[in-house]
Amino acid sequence: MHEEKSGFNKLGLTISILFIFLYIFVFSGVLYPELSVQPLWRIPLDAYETKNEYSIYSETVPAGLLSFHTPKYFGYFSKGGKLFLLGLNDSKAAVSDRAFVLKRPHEKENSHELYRSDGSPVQSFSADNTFFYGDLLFSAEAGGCGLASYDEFGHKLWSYLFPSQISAFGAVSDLAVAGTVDGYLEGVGKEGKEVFTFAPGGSRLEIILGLGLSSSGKYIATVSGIDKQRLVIMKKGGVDYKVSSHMYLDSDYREPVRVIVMEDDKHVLYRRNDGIGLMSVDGKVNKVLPVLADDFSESMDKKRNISYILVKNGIQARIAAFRLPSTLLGNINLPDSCDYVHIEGQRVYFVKDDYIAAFEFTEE
Amino acid sequence: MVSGRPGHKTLVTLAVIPVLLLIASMAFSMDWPVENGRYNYGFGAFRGRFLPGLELPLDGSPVIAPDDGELIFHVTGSDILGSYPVSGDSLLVLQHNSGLLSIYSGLVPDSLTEYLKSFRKGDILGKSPQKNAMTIAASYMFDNKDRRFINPLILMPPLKDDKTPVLRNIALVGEGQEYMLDSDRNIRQGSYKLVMEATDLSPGAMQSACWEIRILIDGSEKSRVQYDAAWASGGKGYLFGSSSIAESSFFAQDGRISFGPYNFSRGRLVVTIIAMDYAQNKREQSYSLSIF
Repeated sequence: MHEEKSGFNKLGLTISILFIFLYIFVFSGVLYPELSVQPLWRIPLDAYETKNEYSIYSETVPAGLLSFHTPKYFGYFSKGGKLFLLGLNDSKAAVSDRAFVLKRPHEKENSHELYRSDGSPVQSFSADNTFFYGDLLFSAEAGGCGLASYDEFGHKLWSYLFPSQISAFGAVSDLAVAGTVDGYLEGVGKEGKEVFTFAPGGSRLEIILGLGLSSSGKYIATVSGIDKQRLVIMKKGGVDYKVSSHMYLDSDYREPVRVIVMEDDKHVLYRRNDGIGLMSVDGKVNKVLPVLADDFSESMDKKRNISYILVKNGIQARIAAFRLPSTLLGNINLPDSCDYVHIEGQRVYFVKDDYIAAFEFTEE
Repeated sequence: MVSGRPGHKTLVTLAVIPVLLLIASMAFSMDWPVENGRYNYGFGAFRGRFLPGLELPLDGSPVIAPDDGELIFHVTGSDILGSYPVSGDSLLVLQHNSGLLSIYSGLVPDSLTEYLKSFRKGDILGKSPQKNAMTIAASYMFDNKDRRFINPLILMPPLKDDKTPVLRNIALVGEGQEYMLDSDRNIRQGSYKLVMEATDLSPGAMQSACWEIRILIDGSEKSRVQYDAAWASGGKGYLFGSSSIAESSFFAQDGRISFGPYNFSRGRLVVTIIAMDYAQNKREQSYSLSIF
């Protein structure tokens, strides 16, 4: 039985490597001549048996574990392609690279258990809907108007009630910012106190549709309002934030809009009708990347000064490579219905149905 | 009674006048979100905290626009772009000409009429979930100008209601002791909070709060709250436009509402509690106490 499984795995591995090879080199879009992709590895998840809530498949904890979660699974793998932990995502686990939270449906209402990424339990705690933003653990409270912050041990640090329902959210280590349905941005400091309140205004109807924070906390960008919609970029000055640049948009979104302050702390990406907008934080650069996207995320290869943007349109996903400010180097399609994609530097990890795969952009 | 932040109360009092004018101009002009004004829990019910809206019946009922309005936001799914969770997997917000927002969470995601930008009064917005969906659907009326949730009873057509509010588990709490008022009438002098369950079982709801509660000691009014509005400021919740009470001080840990503290000195006194619902049904209970 064991040999059959092993044989199956070898065959599966061969087919999957062939599949990835074909997918990347035959079905993908056109890449800039100097840029190519190199398949790295594939982990077939269905070859692993998950016991209880999760199972661990390595005696030692690899360094730099990456997390993933899909409607079916959650877990951790190494960058080298070894599966470390796999669980069935029955209770909608909240997962970060450092820790995960499982809901305890049969115990006290809203009971959760916090675990480290190595699978060791940390603490049971009571919360509403927990979620990670990066490695920061929060929970949603008060019917979508509240936010609670927790430390790495699952202790509640603070709880904050916003005036109306939250429509956009972003956080860095010492600042959490929520946009609300009545058109305000409100920042909360690490002590759980109000840091600032700001209403972008300037539109017939006020609403915050999206926001992004720079990793330094220096910039906040938001898309707000209806008729007309606005992109507003704010810069930290002392304890408060002041508008550093703004622009009216042609869009008429009435749903969440992705806004990202790029890793270089100099540019903002935002969703627009004709592509992904790129604006420098001082407003001097204003370009459109010709990539239509319902949603996107960004990762920067600083060594090569290339920005990789994961573009999602419905079930389709692809990665577009840009050299700033707006030189498209090419793009590569990912399999439809990718459940999870993570870009780190020039490496791309994705989960599709029952496998995790990785490839790498290389410059020739 | 515990009030809000210093200076806050004065501002709140000043803000009450335009709120009342706004409310008066819109009184009864809107429709209930579910036919016949049915809801499970009403404004002010204790649902782990002060419910600043209505919890809708879990029976798949169509939920309608209370007035003409414009869709300004909708999201379905478990979270907002991978971050903040969406309560009940859906959120829909309408802006009305009056300056009010009507906000709906937890409607069945597939049922949302999010493809329309403009809604007429009575248009279907979506459906409430069934009971077995293990989720909660709620609607809220939000005054955009003063950034506060408004009790829908003020805005929606009056409901037939001939049931008086119910007062239960009334007690004085002080110095680590709790004295139930239906049995303990001899109480040591000191400072006490008055706690109670005060609910209104109107025909349209499983449970709601009263509209008004007054506390009288020896005939003199010491506290009065009117369940008209709830809002947040500086991260904290506040209740009742005319009195501005911090939400954290209004609820005891067990969910009972709390008034005071009151200082009781030696002698006899009469504590009277008057609870009234929005249809003016009134319950009055008095307790004669001996303070030693």
